[in-house]
Amino acid sequence: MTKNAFWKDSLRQVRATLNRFLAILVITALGVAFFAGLRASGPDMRATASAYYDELNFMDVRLLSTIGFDENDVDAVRNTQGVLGVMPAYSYDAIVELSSENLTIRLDSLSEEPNTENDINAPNVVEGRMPESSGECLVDPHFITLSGYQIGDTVNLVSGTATLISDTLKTDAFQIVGIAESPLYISNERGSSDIGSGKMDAYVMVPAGDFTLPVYTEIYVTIENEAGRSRFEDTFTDLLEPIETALKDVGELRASVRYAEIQDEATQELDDAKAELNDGWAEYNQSKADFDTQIADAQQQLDDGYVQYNQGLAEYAAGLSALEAAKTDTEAQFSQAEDQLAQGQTEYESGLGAYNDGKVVYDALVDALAAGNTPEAIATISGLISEMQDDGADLAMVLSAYVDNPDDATSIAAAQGAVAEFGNVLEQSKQQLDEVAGTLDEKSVELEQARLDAQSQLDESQDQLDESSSQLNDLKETLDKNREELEQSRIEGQDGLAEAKERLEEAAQEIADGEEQLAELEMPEWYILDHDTNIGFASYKEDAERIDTLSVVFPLLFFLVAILVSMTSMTRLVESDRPHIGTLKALGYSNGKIASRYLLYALAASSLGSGIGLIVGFNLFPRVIFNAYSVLYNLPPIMADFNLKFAVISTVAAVSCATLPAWFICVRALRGTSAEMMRPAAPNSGKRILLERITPLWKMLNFSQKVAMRNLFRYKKRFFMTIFGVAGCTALMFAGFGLRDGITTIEPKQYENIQRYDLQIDFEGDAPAEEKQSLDEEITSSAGILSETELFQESVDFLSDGQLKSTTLIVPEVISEFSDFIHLQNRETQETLVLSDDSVIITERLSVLFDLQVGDTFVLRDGDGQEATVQVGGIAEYYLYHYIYMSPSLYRSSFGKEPVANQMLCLLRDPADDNSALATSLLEQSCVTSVTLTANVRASFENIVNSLHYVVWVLIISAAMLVFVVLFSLTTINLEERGRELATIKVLGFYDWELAAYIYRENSLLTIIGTVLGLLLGIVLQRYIITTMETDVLMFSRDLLWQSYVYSAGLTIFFAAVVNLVMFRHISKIDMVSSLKSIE
Amino acid sequence: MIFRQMSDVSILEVFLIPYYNRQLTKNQRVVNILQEGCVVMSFITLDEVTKHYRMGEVIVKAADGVSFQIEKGELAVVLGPSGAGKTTVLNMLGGMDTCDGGHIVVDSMDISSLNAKQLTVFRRKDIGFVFQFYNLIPNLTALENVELASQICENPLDSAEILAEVGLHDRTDNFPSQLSGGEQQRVAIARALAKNPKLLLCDEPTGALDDDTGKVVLSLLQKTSHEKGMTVIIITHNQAITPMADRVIHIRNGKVDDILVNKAPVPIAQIEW
Repeated sequence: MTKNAFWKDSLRQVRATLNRFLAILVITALGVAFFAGLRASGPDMRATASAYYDELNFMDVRLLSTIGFDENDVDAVRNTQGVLGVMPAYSYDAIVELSSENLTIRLDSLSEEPNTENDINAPNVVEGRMPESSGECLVDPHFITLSGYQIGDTVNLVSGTATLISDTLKTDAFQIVGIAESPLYISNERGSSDIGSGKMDAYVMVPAGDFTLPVYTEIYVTIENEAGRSRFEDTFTDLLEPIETALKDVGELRASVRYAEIQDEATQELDDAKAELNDGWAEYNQSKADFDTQIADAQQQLDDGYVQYNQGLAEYAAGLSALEAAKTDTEAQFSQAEDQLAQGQTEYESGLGAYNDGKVVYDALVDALAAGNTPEAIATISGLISEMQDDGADLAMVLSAYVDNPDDATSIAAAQGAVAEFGNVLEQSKQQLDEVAGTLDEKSVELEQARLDAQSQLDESQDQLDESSSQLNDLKETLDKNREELEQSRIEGQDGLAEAKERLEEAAQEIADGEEQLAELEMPEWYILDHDTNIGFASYKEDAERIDTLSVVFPLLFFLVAILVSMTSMTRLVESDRPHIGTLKALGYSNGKIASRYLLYALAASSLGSGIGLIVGFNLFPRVIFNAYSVLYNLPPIMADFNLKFAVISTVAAVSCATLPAWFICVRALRGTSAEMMRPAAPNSGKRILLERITPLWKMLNFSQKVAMRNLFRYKKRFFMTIFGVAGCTALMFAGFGLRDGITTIEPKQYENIQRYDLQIDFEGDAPAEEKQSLDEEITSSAGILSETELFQESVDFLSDGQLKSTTLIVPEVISEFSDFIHLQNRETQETLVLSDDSVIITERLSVLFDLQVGDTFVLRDGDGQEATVQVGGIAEYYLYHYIYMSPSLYRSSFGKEPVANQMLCLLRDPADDNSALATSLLEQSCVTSVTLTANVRASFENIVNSLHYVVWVLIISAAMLVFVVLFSLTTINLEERGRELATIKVLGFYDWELAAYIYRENSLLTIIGTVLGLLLGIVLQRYIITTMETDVLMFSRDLLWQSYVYSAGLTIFFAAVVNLVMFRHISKIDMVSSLKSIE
Repeated sequence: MIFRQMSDVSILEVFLIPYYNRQLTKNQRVVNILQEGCVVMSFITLDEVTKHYRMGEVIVKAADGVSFQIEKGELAVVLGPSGAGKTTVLNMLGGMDTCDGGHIVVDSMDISSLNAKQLTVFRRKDIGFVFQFYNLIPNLTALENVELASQICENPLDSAEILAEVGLHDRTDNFPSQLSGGEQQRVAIARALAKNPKLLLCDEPTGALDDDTGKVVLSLLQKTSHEKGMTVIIITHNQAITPMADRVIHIRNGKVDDILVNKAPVPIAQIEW
């Protein structure tokens, strides 16, 4: 055999034992991949975030101050040793009102020096562009999701406090020009806010110039880090700590300077204000006097006007009555005149009548006279005479004389004379009468004329009077208006004055307040917060560390099992090759040369396996884990680096675990002579096992079982190897499933057993009674709400043993009904805990963190800084955050205050339905600050849980693969080692299945023992991992579901069965001839 | 020896057998061997058995037309130098290996036509093996090793009795490692006999034993053959033991060289070598 032949032989050996070579390769690859990959996951996560932080110039320190920062502060920070970049910034919390809900957002200012070292926490613009002018903004991708806004839309801000937005910002409307990620918020948790619901929903970045605040609200600082150390490394902390100390000193110095400045400034301002106030008062008094005078003048004028008016009115009345009198007068005169006229007329008419009578008589007389003294004439005359009255007396006498002596000439003459006279008289009277008639007519016309004249005179007067009346009315109107106006201006003036006075008084109060404040002004304080206080950074760091924790125990066990199997395989290979070694030795090959043949074999298999394992592991595990966490964090894709440290550790361990056994066994074998080696090894000496000594038990077993038991316990190496391998894999799988249980069972426990309420309403405890009443009415009337209870809750500091932890204190209003909403019970004893008046109940995680037992005491400090020492009366099962429960009377006696309810817990009729409409309507109540549906909280918790889920599945699948390979390798080795025995049995005429059963009986037993041990080991492993992975605020469940036992045991047994089935082919193919022909 | 069932079948039928055979399944096949114009059937008959191994490009003819018969109750020794093909013949005869050509008939069953499963049944019921290196299960006591075989048979002999018969009544609870080579081989013979086989096949049973122990083992085999009427075939390269055999079959280069029938076998104790 030449040198070449030796190598050829070696190569052929690989080909001949390809299965074993591959088994070693695969198991090494698995072990290395799992170990190196998982171990590298934490560092890779950190490296990815670190690069992202570097790219966006993430802050190292955030400075906050109780009074903000001015330019001098900024300069002082800039001049601090070790400080590289300084970015003064503003931030402001505001509300964006959407139709469905209100978003609480944080406005952060952008750097004024973009793309310099002072551009800290630079936004990573995902879409759109950077703001270029005032009124433009970048928004959180979350904001887009929550609001449905797009680039180009305008965000309208509403103040979340009593102060106006304009006190802080130039504008309350910002146009979205881009969507950007901020390194300040890599976590989906945006942090807390003191407005709105208290939970920040999203951030918005606006130009610094849009802030009108006189001082910066914060300063971001980066430090000089020439070596490029990662922020996650301790060495970075070493770098940071001295600078933080220096900044603290700067802060103290600047604080005192600013304090003095503020005091001076305030004093000056107060003085100015006081002077201004005095001026104000003077002005006020002056205006008041002026006003009074003006009012008085106007009043006087008005009064005069009224007087005038009244005078006019009187004059008018007088005129009117005069006119009336004149009218009456005239009327009287006229009626008198008319009467006279009428009388004249009457007289005339009677005169006319008399005349007419006389005429008739005359005519008759004339006629009668003319007729002579005929009887008839005489009779007529007589008749006429009788008719004749006064004027006719003379005539009558004559006539009667004529009648008496109708023929007497004298008488006739007398009579004729008398009649003629009478006629004359008549004529006379007729003339008189005509005269009278003419006079009467004249008079009548005159009277008519006079009447017309009088009437026109009267009308004229009437017109005059009417005119003066309307003038008077106008005057009255004007006056009334003036009076009203005056009244108005008086009121206005008085109001104005009152207002002015009020303002002045306010100003006076302000000055007084200012003076008081100045007197109370505390020394300003700087807060130096490093990135561990950034919620994204801190939680990411914690998650990466959790992966670190997980990747210590898990892969180690995994790796142990893997290398154990590769060790076994290699050992077996060398042992079975004893004759060959003997031959080579006989041929004169040196020991080293012979050993190198196996070393090379092991080296080739294990280093190839390691190489594959490293490539797969470094790519697969960090990616899978990172992807799981990508639900919670906004980060660029992972940088799956080649981690030299873990590569070297795992490769060296894997390779040496394959090669060293080969070496040792080779060396041990080579100590003998070649002849010895070529002879068969002495048969394994059979021995009785312990079990046989327990005769009754042994006798219960049938032959096959006895054989199986003997074989099991006789081959200790195989026994322990298989059991350890199977147990290890089962434990890994079980721990994986158990971890899943620990995580997933929290949810139902927390949200079904403990937090039983479906809806939480936070409201202002100090809201006006009617607002509270309105809420109560809404609650009572709402059909969706079954029942509710109220409680007081407050953030408190928990102090114990010098440690401090921020927690929440809950004081239920009615203890008896509280357990329907939050059920407190001890996890171990399952005993329901009821609040008593002398002790509090704390949640379990808190008791673990502070190592508190029932009966221990601790200190509570409330928001007002008031402290109370309380005793632990019970430890309640609780998985998320910390709470302290206290009875109202204990609260009263501890804090001397009344617990005023500010939270309401409700049970809903249909908690499974979408109750968001109910929540929205409750939110409309003015005293309600937030409404939280347990279903929503539960859903977001589920998201977090799901990301861990992936990690767990990685573990489970890896463990399952390992189980398979381990069982396969061990079974193969078992078959090979016992080839002769099996061949013998086969020759004896065992059927294939009997032969298989002969082997399977042992394998099954080993698998079952291994599985049981694995479960036990798994419980320990799961408990260890669960406790190390828990965070401050999160407790994992200690529950292990029966499914986990079933799954992990079942999978192991299933794989064992699969392996055995595959092996059945091998068993049936055992070559009897070759096994028996030679020695081995 | 006439085929024992010949009395029950007519000549016609005998002549027709080959034709029947074509229509019958392998299992049911009635074996017929026509030799020298006469229907003769031995307990064991090998007829032109060939076995070829391909070793790379070379074909090794381990058995190249082996024919012989062994009668029931005989102790036959198959003799030949190393590599002559005697173990190959034994393996085929024992159902551990199949032949490439020819027929092997054991107790009127043509085992050369059996499949793997049927061969297993054949080994299980009809064959007892004794190996050069005993092949005892190291983890079982002597008794248990015997029981291992007897538990799979239909009519096993009592294991303890068999052990007593091979002279190991006081070693039943010993493990193989506590036994000498001869004792181990006797356990192996006991294991083979416990199955109550038709045929006991021994492959170099004394190969790993010193002469005296070897003699003990051989005399045990001879005794078994003569006293129990067991057909025993011993494979050896040791010519010295041939006088003890009823029949000696010489094999050379994969062929039967010579067959000797020894009418008066010598007890093993009288043989010196």
